[in-house]
Amino acid sequence: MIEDAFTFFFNLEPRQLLFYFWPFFFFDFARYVLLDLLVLVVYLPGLRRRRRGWLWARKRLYKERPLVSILVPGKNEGRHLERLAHSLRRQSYSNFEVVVVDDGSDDDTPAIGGRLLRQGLIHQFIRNETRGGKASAANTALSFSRGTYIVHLDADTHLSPGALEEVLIPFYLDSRVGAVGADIRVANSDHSLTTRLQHIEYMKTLSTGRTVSSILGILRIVSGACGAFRRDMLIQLGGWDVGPGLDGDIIQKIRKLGFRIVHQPRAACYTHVPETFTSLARQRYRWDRSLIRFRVRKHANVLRPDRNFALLNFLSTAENLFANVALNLKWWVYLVQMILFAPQLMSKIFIINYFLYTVCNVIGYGVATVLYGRTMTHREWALIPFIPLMPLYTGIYLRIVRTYAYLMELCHRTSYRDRWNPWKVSAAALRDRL
Amino acid sequence: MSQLLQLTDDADKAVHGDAQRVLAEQVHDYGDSGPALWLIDEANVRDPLELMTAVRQQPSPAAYLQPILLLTAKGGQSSLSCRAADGAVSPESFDSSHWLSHFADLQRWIAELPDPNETDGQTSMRVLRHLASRHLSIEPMMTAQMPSGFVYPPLLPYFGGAAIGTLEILQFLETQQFLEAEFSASAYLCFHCRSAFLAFEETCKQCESADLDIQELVHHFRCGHVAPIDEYRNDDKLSCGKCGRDLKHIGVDYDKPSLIYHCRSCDHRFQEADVRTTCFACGRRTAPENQHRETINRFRLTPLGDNAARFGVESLFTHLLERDIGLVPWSVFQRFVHIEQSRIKRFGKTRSTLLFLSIDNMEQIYAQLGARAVELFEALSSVMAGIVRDTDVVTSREERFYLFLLAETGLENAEVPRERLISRLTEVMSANLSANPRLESHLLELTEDVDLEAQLQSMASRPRD
Ligand SMILES: [Zn+2]
Ligand SMILES: [Zn+2]
Ligand SMILES: [Zn+2]
Repeated sequence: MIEDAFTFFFNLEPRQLLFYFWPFFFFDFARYVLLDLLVLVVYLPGLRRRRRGWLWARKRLYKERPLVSILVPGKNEGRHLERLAHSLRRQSYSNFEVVVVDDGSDDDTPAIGGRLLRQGLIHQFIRNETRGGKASAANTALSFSRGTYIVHLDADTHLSPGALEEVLIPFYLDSRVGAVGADIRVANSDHSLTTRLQHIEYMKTLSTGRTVSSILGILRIVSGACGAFRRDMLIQLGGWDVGPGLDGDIIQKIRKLGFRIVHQPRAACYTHVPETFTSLARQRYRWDRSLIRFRVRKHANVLRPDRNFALLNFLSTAENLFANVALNLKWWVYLVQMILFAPQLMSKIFIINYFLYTVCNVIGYGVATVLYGRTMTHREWALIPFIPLMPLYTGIYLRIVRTYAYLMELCHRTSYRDRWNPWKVSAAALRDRL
Repeated sequence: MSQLLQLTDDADKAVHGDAQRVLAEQVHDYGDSGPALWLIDEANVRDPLELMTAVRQQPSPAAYLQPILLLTAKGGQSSLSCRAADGAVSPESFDSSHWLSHFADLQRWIAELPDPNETDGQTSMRVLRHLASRHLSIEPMMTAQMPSGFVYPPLLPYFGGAAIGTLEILQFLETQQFLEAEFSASAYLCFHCRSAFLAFEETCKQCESADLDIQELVHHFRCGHVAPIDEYRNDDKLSCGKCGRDLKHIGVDYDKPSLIYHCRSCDHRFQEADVRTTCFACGRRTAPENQHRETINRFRLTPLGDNAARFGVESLFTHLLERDIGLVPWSVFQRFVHIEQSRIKRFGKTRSTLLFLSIDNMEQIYAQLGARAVELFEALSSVMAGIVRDTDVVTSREERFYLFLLAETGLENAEVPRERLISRLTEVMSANLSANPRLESHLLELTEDVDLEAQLQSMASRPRD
């Protein structure tokens, strides 16, 4: 069977090859393999070249020692706060304040926060009796912060000891930098198959993918789990707007102001990911819908060639829409094509596709290991046996969730009724057609 | 001599603090005991509490334990001195025979004391006897008149003035298991001078200023903007600095999620203010957690306390022995021994033996067992009662030494009951105490030249380990 498939594959003429495997050769090969190789040929050699600049920027950072405000907004995060506060004390860069906003927790978060405040482990603890949502909690924290730079952090994450320093240095390398994203890695990788597959996915799409976007100047997201911003710029923007998808939204607003967005792969931020396929599906459903809402509805103007037009912003959004919506659509086109034109070849084509995408994943993993360099841990190495499962995970599982999310959002605007936001906020947003 | 003594403080001559001398002149006729009822007419004395203090400072229970009745105008009956007295009545309605019979139980209690006319040296004993004689539980009372902020009014005259030492005495009695404490309130007292009068104020975490104002935070739903309400004020309406819209309806387009403090002196904003306390008495200022936190209890007498009040702290066990085996006083025992010695000398036929027993760690039993000491003493007493025959005579000295006169018993026949006594006592005591009991005993044949005092002397001088 497998032999048959490969015999079929090797006997194809170039024209047939493209006919049967156009999604791979036209889109995914270029997108995942060729772009990833940019890391090898541009980013890594550049690292050595830029080392002197980097050292100089680091020296300036420590000479200036700007106050950094670490904002930790959230609901019912008390149990994570203590560990987070302690892990922050191990940071190489130490001039920071921690501003925690408790957004209407109904557990023992207020007590824990109060205690950490008295112990001096955190510096502000603001309690909202009623929940206002992610954006308002982050904005509350922002209004209580005093630092020159803002680091937005999720309570259930922890940072590698040099992470704070690493996300600050790009501001000193280039004054046009407005936001720096840390490299999000999976903390609970060895919990289940779900978390292992997500870890491989994060290595490819977040670590490598964002490094590539950063090189190309089209990085469009800085993860809310850990991102650094210039405070003056955030104040000018009025902080975060109502989510979901507020992480991408704020970056879009920053790009519109003309600032650069940088990804910092060596600033490792470990986060907990969903541990079952069901909870993962719920998470991705929410994320995917926000794309429609923010790219297509709110920020559609970046696609219009008017006075404010900026090519990179256009490309950033266009690439994002293309990659997600169009490439998602292409699979269904491909599926229909196969059913219509080659129903008897489907199993062979499936096997070959599976092989091709597995090779892609191996290459992607390899690039990520090079990128991680010394920050590779046993957790990452332990993922190798699971790489062959990735085509099923990204090609089938995630695709179905994504397609469903896009359809729901386009047809029903379901995110306005999302429990993610308090009802009062969603209602206000819906009224104003935001 | 009247059963009633109406006290005056000789308002013309007496200088403050001299009540003791004034009282001494008036009670001269009563000897060691006092009148059956102390009467104080508030209208005629300068400071009724000072007189009561003089009364409660009298040497013997027969004097200081006697009831004090305060004659006071109607409406004044909630004053501190009324609560400190045993009763208060208006002068018009005072009826001496009614009050004498009212306190008859108390009189009886005093009369039943082993030695009502002997001096009670310790305040703790006086307090205990006061509570026991009146079957009183004491409640703390809030007051602005005392620096400690609360008092136990009936005990006030035992301590005088600022009631210093009251808590310590009560706590001591509690550790002795004579009183049972129950939580009533808690209070912060000045860490320096123990005054209860502390001013609390909220202060800025950053600069310690108390010049704070409280601001409301406003959350504009549609844009997620959050700022103090002042930043939204625009003439007489609220409008959003981020999105420019007007805020119209609270709960619909905005709300106020929290309150924050704003320091007017350094502009710091925060939600949890520090609290500073300043002592009204000594002016010292510190955080509340540095102040002294005191638990204010109400107290109730325990059965052990009741016993100790009646028979003294030391003699509880001997009291039980008196009941169970007819323990005789030392002088009586001496007479018995003397008679027995004469008989032996005269007839030379009969033989008697003296059994000496010492229990060395009696204090430890109180300290370790507290209220349960009564049970142990009961058990020990019944062990002794099981050994002692009707013809035997038993006495004790200082609660440590027990002397048994075993009549018509030769030395060799006395060994059996001695061994039985020691092994039973050891058994009972080791079952109840963590440390081994320290029992010493020996037998001595009674001859005419046995000197009891000398024997006791030598037992007492034996080194205790
Ligand atoms: Zn607004
Ligand atoms: Zn201040
Ligand atoms: Zn003081």
